[in-house]
Amino acid sequence: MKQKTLVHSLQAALVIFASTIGTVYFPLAAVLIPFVSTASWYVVLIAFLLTTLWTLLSTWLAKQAPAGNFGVAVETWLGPILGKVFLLWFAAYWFLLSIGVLSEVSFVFHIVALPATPIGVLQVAFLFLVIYTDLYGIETCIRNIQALLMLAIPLMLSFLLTAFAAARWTNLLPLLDASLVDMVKATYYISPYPLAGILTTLFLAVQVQDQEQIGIKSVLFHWLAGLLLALIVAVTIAVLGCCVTESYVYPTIPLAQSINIGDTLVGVEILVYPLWLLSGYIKSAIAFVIASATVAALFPAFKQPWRAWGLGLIVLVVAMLPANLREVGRLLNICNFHLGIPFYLVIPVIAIGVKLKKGRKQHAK
Amino acid sequence: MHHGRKKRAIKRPRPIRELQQRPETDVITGHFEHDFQALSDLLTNSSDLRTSIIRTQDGKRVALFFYAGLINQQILNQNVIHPIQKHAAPLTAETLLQRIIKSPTGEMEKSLTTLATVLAKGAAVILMEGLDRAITVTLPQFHDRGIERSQSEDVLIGPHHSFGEDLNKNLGLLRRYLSSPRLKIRTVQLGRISKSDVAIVYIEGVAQEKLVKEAEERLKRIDIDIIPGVSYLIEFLEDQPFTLLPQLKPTERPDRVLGALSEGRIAIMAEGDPTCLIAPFFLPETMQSAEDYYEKPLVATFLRWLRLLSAGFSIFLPGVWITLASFHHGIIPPTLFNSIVAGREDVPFPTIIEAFLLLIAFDIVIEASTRLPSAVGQAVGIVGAIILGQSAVQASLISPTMTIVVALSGLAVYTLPSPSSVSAIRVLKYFVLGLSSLLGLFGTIWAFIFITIKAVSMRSFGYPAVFPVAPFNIRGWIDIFLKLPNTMLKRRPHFLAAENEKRLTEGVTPYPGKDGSRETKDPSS
Amino acid sequence: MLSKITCRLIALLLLTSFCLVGCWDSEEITSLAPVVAIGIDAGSEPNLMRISAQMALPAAGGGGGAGSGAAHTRLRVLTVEAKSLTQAFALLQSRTRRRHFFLHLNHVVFGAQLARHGLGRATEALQAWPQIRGSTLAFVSEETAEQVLHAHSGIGQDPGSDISHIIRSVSSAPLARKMTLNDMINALSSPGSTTLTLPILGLRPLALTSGDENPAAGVGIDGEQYMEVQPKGTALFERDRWVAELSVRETQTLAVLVGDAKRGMSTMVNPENPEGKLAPQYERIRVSYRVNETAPGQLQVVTRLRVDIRLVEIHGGYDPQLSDTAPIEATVKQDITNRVSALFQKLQAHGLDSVNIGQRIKQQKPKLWRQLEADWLQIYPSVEFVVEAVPKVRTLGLIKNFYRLGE
Repeated sequence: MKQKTLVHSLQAALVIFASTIGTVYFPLAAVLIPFVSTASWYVVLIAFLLTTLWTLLSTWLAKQAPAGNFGVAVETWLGPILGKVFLLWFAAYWFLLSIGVLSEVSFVFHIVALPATPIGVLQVAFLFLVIYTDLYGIETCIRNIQALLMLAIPLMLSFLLTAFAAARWTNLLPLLDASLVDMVKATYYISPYPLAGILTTLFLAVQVQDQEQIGIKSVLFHWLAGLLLALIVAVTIAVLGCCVTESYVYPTIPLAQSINIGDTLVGVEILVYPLWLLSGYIKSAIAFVIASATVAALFPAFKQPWRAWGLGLIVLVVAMLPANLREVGRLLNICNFHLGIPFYLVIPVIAIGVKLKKGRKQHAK
Repeated sequence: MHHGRKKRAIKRPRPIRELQQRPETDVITGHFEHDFQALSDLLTNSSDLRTSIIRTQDGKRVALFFYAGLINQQILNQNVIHPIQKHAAPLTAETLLQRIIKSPTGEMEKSLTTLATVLAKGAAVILMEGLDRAITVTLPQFHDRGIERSQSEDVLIGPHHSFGEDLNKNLGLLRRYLSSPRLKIRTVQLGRISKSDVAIVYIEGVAQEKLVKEAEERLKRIDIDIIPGVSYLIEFLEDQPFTLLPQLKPTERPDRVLGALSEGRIAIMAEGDPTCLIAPFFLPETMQSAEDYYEKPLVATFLRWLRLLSAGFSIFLPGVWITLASFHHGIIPPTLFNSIVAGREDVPFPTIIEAFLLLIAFDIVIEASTRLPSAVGQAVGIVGAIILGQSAVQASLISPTMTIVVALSGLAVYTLPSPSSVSAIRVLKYFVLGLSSLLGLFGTIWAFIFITIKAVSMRSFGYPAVFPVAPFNIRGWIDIFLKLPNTMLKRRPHFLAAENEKRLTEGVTPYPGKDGSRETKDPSS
Repeated sequence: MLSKITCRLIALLLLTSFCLVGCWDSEEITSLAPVVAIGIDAGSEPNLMRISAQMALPAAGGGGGAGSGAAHTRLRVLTVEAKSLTQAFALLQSRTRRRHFFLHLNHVVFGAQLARHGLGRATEALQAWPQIRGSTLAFVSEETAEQVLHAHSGIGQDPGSDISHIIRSVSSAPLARKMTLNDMINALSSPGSTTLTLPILGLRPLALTSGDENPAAGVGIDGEQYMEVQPKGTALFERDRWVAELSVRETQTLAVLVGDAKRGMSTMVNPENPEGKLAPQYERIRVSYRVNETAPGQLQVVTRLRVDIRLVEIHGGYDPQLSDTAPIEATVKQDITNRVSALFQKLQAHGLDSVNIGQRIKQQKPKLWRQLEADWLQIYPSVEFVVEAVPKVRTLGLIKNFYRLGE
């Protein structure tokens, strides 16, 4: 991490968008419906609106640190010892997220499309791509995500558009039936999803060339991601109805199955699998690259080809541990709730700390 | 920026001992016999070398060296030999240069090795008794083809000129179209033996100075004995020579070079090669043809979409087909399913092997028809396409659907105007097919992501190779999908151009009624 | 020390050898037998199911070698009895060389006996099978599902296409409601608010005349009569048990009321002139419901149908120049009101909320629904239904003067 990575604010914002969406849109509707049923879609919007605060805090924090290096930035916020602890925690979160997404994607693909192919083969193949991305460094990773989004976003939009035809919007009624308690509960359960975007913002904002732009752009793309997710949830419920949506782990797959264009293009769920793989790769690559960069900040002696391959080996071993999708879910839950949610508390605390320190400095002057 | 250079450690080849390297005697001494002997020794064993000694009227000996095939001997006789013989006054170097040889190409030279190089470039060397320098007169007469139509990049509309093998003529061609003094040409001599001229062409004030410097540095680093042509240099200049995808754009059309120069790029040309390398080259430009700028914008846009689709087809179609036909049958509609099965029922090979066999057969036919003389080539194409395909289907060796898939993917690639991308895609197709046949859709997407990583990590002269896509640039991005009217292309590509990004002034379009003079008059009034 | 290129070549070699091991999931398209329909009947014992699978085996066209001729399919029906769907599919698989392939599954037919005993268990099993899509159509058979699968086609190439035709005509003249497995699951898992209905498939003798391509095809080996599939109305379910049915005409009304169909037609007699007939086409039917609580525990549901009429066939009794469309609209209004009210009465008599009034209340007045939810089916028969039909003649056609016999 000697040289300053040159990331444009728009690039960073796109990566934040990609990292927020990730593979979230596959299970999201099913996660929400048990709590708020037809209100799910606007609960997503509310959750994203609320978490905007943290996005803003992250970009504000980035401006308080010397540009260019996340490790140095954390040190200026927290001091050397606490900074190391924070970096370790940060790395662990992303590392586990990368493992979780990697095994989730491989497992689902194994179940729905390639039942005879050993799961290990899929995991190794997938991991290779992720390691390969890390070898080229964060800049290439960001550009690669940008390039892949050019395919993923049109694919997703066309998928949504075709699903529109099958939608029965009355399924979304009653509109305002969810109680406040349920909504809060649901917001808590989906709060890890915007968190990935917020932490990406925290990581990338220090490395951005034009820092005055990153605040507005990251918030904009944070909302855009929320809007897209809300749209997907709404369409899923409108097409499938609450009961069916709730009964699947990944309701997007039956959603794709029910697409029917003129009775000829039936069963286009195959078209969703590329989307699944692309978004899985994007999320897992972002997570791995950020984890690897944080590890580099912690242990500068751990140099590049060995770092990517070494971390990759650990990922492979851990990814092989879960025996089924449930256990992968448990792994992701540990990552999201035990490692992730505390960030919501810590980021404001850091911000207050930095603000106080700054105030004292000014006062001393 | 310096990523590529750092990564690729340049292995210099072990220097081979130059054949005629005699450091002490490498200069003209002024001693006529010695110099004559030294030069003759240096150029020994070349039967096309002509030497002659003439005497001036004051009795001085003048020796002439030249290669028979490279010099216009008539002019040599008229302008050099006769005047020397007839010259009455005592002959000095100055009179010889200024009075007798009225050619502006006359020069004085001391080094023997340089003389040998200059000789090979079409000069006559004159050794004069009592002069410690040789005089060179360049009177080249190469037997070169004229300015012809481009073979590999022919277009229907627009200029048809293409470069030839003569560097000077090519540079002249560029000068003729771009008569500004800002068109700069820097020449580097490369090749320890061949001493070929390699020129870097750019427009001052449009191209960034660092780009020109980078090119010059990269060229100077090349330490090699012989350079057969500029195409040979591609791997030496690229940041990642092992990658399939092209990082420099070879072209032989002056109008393309001019277009590139005006955008702030540089062109690299060499003696003896009609190809010109344009740097930096961004991969999405593969979809753009020179013709686009002469066509109507809508037509050009359509063509760009077509090329985009074709590129996708040619890389991914066989792989996707394998994915559908032998992994994920669910997406095939029942009626199509039935007709595929009907065609495949008696085919003995698995779909995957069938695809590989047919693709290889197709590439054999293509390769054979490019190598064969054009008259036979067409016949082979027909035989390959119709007879081979038809009989293979009838003999139930392959299924008709597979023939369609392979033929479509094989032909689609030739819609791309860039030959280097065509060959890259022809190979990539097999990569995608291999992975798809291994892991189905997972393999196809894997291959796609892998290619993207590879393409995105690539740099062309330090610039990201997939420029308008990543890093994202809205203007460049629109240009991939839409060919805007030339009147709307107001700016040069972002971050390529030096200081003046703007290339068009406002208000150049002729809107009637915009100013008084253009107002259309009502004929009835 | 190996050079970078050597390393890459070794990696490539490894990858190639890996390829030779691989292709785990690759399956030749010719080795598949697409199952296009599944029939589920009650088995001979209580815990058995009788499962039939109809396979469309693709075959090369009649004349010439491969590659020539159009593809056509041979249909084959296999039936087994099993305790579970998994066992049944395994048993079915053991009887064919080609692997069964469910992604072309078009419809599932439940036998009458099974449907009357409850088809919840069978539906659950179908949902659990990952290869069976939720968008697969569902039907009940008038007799057994096996018979339906064995039936021949009257109009298309295969019975499946007949059924698709029946379903596709929903938008113009609804002969059946389109129900998918997902709809079934939605209806079964939210009792009260939604009620399951399924289209009934009946059988009738396949009658081909000399005008058809092969008149002899109507009769099979040993003079067996071939049957063809025919829509026979709608089966109404209480939870997952088939308890009542609607005729085709009532099905049309139901389809309009639940929003499946936006068009319809009717033929009615002129009330003033018994010889006069009116056959309007309903172009655009918009249905809306309004729930009023007239008294505590007393509900009134106002069903409002706005209908655009296209006049096609008019005989006797009406103004030939159609200067005033009011009498026609009045007749149509009466007709629609009668039909809808009759349907509601019938449904109320059976205690079945097949129009999903419960769901409407839930969507419009979620608080009221929470009070009603527990004993909705007890309240439902006492709900007062008010039908408001608002027909409007929109299209008169191009005939200025209707021809009148004897005038």
